[in-house]
Amino acid sequence: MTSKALFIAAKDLSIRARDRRALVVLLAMPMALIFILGLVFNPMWQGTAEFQRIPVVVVDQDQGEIARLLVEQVLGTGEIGRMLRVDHAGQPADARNLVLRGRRAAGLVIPRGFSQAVMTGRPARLMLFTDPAQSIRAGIVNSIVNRFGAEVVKRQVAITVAAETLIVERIMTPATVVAAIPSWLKDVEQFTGRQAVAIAEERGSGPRFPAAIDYYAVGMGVMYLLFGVSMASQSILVERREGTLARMRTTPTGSSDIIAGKLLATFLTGLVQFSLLVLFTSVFYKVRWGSPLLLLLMIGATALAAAGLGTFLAALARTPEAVESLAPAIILPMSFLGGAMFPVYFMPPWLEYVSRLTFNRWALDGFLAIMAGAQTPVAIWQPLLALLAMSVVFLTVGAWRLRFR
Amino acid sequence: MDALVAAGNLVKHYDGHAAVRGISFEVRSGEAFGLLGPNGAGKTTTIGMLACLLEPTSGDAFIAGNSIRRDPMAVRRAIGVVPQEIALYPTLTARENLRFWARMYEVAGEEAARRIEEVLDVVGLRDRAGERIDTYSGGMKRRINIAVGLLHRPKLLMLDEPTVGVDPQSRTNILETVKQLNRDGLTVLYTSHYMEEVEFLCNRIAIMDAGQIIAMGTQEELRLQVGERDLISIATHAARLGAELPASLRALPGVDDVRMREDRLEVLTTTGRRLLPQIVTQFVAHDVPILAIEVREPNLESLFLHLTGKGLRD
Amino acid sequence: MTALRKAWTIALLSLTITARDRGALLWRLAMPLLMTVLVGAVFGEGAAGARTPVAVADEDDSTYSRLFAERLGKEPTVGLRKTTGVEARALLEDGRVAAVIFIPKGFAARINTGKDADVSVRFDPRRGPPMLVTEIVREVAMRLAVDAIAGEFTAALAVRETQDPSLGPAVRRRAIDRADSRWSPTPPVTVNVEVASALAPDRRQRLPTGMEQASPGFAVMFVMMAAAMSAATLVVERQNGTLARLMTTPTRRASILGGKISGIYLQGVVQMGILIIVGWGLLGVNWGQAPAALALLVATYLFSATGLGVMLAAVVRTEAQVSTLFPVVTIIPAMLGGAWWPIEVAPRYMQTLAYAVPQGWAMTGFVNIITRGLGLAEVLPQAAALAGFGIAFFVVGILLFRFE
Repeated sequence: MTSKALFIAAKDLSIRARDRRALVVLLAMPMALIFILGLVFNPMWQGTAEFQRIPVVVVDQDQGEIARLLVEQVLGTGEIGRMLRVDHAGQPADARNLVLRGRRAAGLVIPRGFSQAVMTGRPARLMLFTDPAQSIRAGIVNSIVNRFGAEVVKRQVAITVAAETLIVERIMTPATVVAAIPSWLKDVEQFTGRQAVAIAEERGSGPRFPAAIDYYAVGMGVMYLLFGVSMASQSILVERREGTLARMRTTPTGSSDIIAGKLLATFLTGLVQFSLLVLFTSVFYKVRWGSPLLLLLMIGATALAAAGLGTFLAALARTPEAVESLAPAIILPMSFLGGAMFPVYFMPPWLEYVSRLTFNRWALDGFLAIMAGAQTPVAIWQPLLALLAMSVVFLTVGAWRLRFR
Repeated sequence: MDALVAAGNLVKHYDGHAAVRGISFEVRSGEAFGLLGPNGAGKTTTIGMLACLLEPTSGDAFIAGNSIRRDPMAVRRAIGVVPQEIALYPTLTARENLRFWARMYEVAGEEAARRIEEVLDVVGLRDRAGERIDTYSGGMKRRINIAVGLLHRPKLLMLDEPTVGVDPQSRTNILETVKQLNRDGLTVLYTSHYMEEVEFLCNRIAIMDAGQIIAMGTQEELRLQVGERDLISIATHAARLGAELPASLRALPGVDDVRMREDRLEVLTTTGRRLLPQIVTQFVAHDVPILAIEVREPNLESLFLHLTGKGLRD
Repeated sequence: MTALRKAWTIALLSLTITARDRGALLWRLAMPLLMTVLVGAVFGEGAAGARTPVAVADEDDSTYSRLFAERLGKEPTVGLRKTTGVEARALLEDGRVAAVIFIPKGFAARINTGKDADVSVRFDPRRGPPMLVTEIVREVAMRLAVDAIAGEFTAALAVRETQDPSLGPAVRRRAIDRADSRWSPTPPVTVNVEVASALAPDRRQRLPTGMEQASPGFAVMFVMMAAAMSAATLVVERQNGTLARLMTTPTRRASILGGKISGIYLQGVVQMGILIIVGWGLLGVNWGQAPAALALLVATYLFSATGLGVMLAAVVRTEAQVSTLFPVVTIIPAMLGGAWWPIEVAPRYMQTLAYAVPQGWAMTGFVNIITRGLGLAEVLPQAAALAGFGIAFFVVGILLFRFE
């Protein structure tokens, strides 16, 4: 029995190998997608996003000392100066207009009396317009302005508090305080470097967050595996239509042979496709997939589950054309839910539970675990089990339905 | 009888490949004209030019007095085309298809509704007209294909291989329908590579090969070209034959030769089965029994073979 | 029966055929709506996913340590919970929180005595470093630093004046108190942030949600997909002979082509119309407040998409070729154009590339209308660019089109 299945599988594979279009679509496309996605997201995810000079417009209605310090020194020079492209406007309304139209990421307005307020220890205000469509860049400008404010506040509060406290404690008289302030302005510099609160940022235990390109290599790779398998699953429907299936049935070949053969072909196709993907991405994009042994296990389980899904799809649809439109309609949402495009952990808990029903979720978990350095099968037992369970379910349902026809 | 179609030296080149190399023919009004030839002979290209789908590289044709080059719109109004492909919308019903094509043929309103039912009757599919085309069998699709060509009461119906891939029953049905239409006065231009169909339907036939017409005429004229004669074979008791019967048979007009075989008599004649009654009369007159009669005629297939050295269905 | 009426008949025919095609309906309507819902569930306004879950383990429970929780609690995009140190670790491991802020016992005491205090932020590596949370923690830390500096400075001055070191601690303590009191009711320096948007105030307080990005993004991509599918239909019609048959009827080429083109455009209008209305009515999608601008943008984008479809049908011979080109024409430009993520996230050269495809212009227009709340005048450049694309596509497509 099994040798016939093998022959059937071999025949299917040779037909598939000749389908140039399929090869292009199933290998080149995910490559391109992974590449683009990696390019775009890598900088952001690593936190080292390089933003070309952020355009900022400034309205300095104050012209006082502190204002000029902010505009000329802080915004205009050094690293910050290189990050920004600053120009000026006369009125706040003009600045707002520019930001509104997206021509500037942010607009800073320094109202009249700002420097005065700061220097006399009264609350001071700054206004910042932000472009809602450039929230990240505007956020950066916000941080910069806030930091400046903090530095100013350090000195202002230190001096005013010192003045008040020393007077109240009768250590100095108001007159002496006023006289001392100019030298205090210099003295305070010794203290402003104080951190006071040390923030330790620690990465919690668990796998490292992979680089964007690694994540998408897995996500898109798994998704395209599904597409490839759905194309393969069309083959049984095509054969039914062409009549070759009926002809096979007139030979002393059992239908279990036929199904087994086709399954084998689909499984092998998936195996080869994914392995090629692994090979290409590790060579060209420097993706590190991890332990080869575990990888093989994982690919096998994934290909098996995918083959099962393919059989299920073929049983669900009735014609090859129906598969062409049905397959993506199932695969895309499932891949999305499973985390192919955005990590699952960004999802609300209830959605995260739903994602456990998807094939992609488990495949992703498994592969990511291996990428993070898992060395023993124990680390991936959950994904393996889930995938195997899925293959069994899909295969039995699919095969049963197909036999009926 | 005047010429409804007059094609003069039509030539069609595709990228250096000559599909049609200068053909001229006439189709008279009320006639059924056949274009017979193997695949690749240029029949579809010829129909394409006459239907104003393709522009001839050179040459012209006149249909109902209109030039295909100068007045294509007028030509299209006068002709109905039944293409080789099932050019119908599969997800629409037969009636919906007919409604749409009627509009394209500028048949509208009540006239359209009436015409649609009429053509459905002609092809015998009225009771299934509300079903989608993709549920039809091949033969049914072809019949609707013909129905579309009839909607606007064309003067000429051009059919391009309308029975390819069709079961025998539907095929017969289609042929009968076209024959009836022709009897009712519709001029028909019919292309095929099936000899029997063309013989059944057509008064005059042009045989095409490799872009040219290699023979043209009525069926009889064509057969005569071969130079072969009909063979009428009469099975009889040789013992009772005698010598007078063969002699009198030989004397009949149109008989070329009479041969005696062991159990039958073979008459070679150019007149064909028209001679049969006279042969029977002679046998009766000489009191020789007739056990069986068989007529073998030369046919177009052999003519084609004779002219080109190839088979029609190679 | 004028040429116009025939063209109209042909256009209606395409609509009828598409309406019967279940696959087409799936891709043109069901899928974009489904994806919008999914993305909205993940990133949308009501979703917990929009709020980053953060835990604060405050073992000190002092005025100063409580500042962290207070400040985090004010942030609308943070979902705060208070917990103990042990519990917090477990929450993090389970992935139920994105980050834990841990304030040890003795925090305030250390500040008051002029020593450095520690705060730790531990984050779930699967979600990456929590930018916002870190920023907020730094903000609070800065306030405490200001207090500490003031305390230190004052104490130093006091000791210098009185030459009595024993005064230091008490003075420091009081100075720190006094410094901290300056933060209410108004901090010494406030930066008022105003989001510059033309949207009416009641519509403005929306989180920059994924929905605002996703809805137009998916619409843009699926409209182009619909155009490509229409191209495939044209190619099939060419293959199965119905297009040629049209040519054998007394119908002008212009009518046929015009009818087919109008059919594609009309389908796009219906599709977009349904997506916008259902999105707006049922899913609460914000489509801006300038219907005229929206209409113009949609009309010109559809124009460019239809043109692309015609060009595709003219250039390609078989349906299989359309399938191969499909992702190149729909998915990749959609990504480049900023349909899948906000364009500002991409590196500069990719942002420029966005303008090489109609999808990029369309997304810019949608962002202007939806996120910035702008109107007709601001959308004119995008509309013009899209019209230009459309014209170019049409010229090529019509010139190259073959009916058989």
